Amino acid sequence: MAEFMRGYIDRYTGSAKAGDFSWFAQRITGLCLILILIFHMFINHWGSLWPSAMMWFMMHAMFKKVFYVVFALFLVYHGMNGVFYVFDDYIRTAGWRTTLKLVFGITGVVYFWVAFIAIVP
Amino acid sequence: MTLNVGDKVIFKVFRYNPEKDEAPYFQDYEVEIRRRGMMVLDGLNQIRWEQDGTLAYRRSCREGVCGSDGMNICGVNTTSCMAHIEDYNTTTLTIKPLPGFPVIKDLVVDFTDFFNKYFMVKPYLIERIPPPEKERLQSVEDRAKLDGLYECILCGCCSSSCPFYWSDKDYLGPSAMLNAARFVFDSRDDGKGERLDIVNNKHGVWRCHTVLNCITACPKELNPTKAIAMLQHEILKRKW
Ligand code: SF4
Repeated sequence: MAEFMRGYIDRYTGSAKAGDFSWFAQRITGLCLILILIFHMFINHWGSLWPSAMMWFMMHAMFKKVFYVVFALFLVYHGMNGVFYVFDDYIRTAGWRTTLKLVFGITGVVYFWVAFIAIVP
Repeated sequence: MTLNVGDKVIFKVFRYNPEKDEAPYFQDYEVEIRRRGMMVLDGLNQIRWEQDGTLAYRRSCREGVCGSDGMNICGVNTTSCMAHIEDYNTTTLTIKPLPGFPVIKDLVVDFTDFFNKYFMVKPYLIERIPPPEKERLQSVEDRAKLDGLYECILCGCCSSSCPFYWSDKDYLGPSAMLNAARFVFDSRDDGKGERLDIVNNKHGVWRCHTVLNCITACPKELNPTKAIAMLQHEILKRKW
């Protein structure tokens, strides 16, 4: 490789630099969140529109818990991943990027934990 | 707007000579319409040859093949040899260098990084078998898959119009990735895997946020966003 290309090879090689998983997961969780949100509206707010679903949900507490844990998990992942994208796009200093990702990452984990203990017991 | 022979238009041209000027500025030039359908490049030539020999810009083939005269005209990137003065519907055309590239002088920008990123995606046929005696044959259907990919003239208009190319200095950009796709989807090529490994990068295909500016900017009417989506699809298909 010519001398002028020095520095370019490292930038685009190495599997750790991919980002395909977060891109794909962002779209999948986004899609699932829309469906979950619609279902949530039916069982909590628009019960009269689909009474059988609401009744079934009320009678199966375990399913309801799993549903809302998944909801919280997808919500936190989608939100945090989106915020990380914004940091990657707009924060140019590597140090600041890492710091902000760390702060928001911890906030996300705490948020999910709070949601978990509110839903599960 | 119809411009007739003898009409005058103003070219408001970005000027900057880093060796002399403290800051860039705009200079107005009067350009005379000497024939119907005059291109912006004809106007720039008129300025340089008859009014101000210090104006710097790149040009070569003057017919949309060499890709050397990419610039920003009235806010849109294009090649000046493919831009009719009349089409801008104004008598004052603002002409700037391609955004996002370092300015060398006036409308001439530094393409080093752009070409390094182009070379990075290995823009040539990679074959694992010895070359055939005659040409490498390809079916009509396989050849048709390259339409919309092989026509790129490397003018840089697309990459320069992309906000993520401006903000992320490592982003490969639409042009490099369209050229990666040109070889990834070539039935004669054996380098698909190594090229996908390179563009499968957070500064590669995953940095594209489908702003779509590149499509508007491309003077050859190519679709780099679609090429990037095809690469994303190929990477996901390979992995899952
Ligand atoms: S894709 Fe179009 S705009 Fe981009 S470099 Fe090629 S010809 Fe120019």
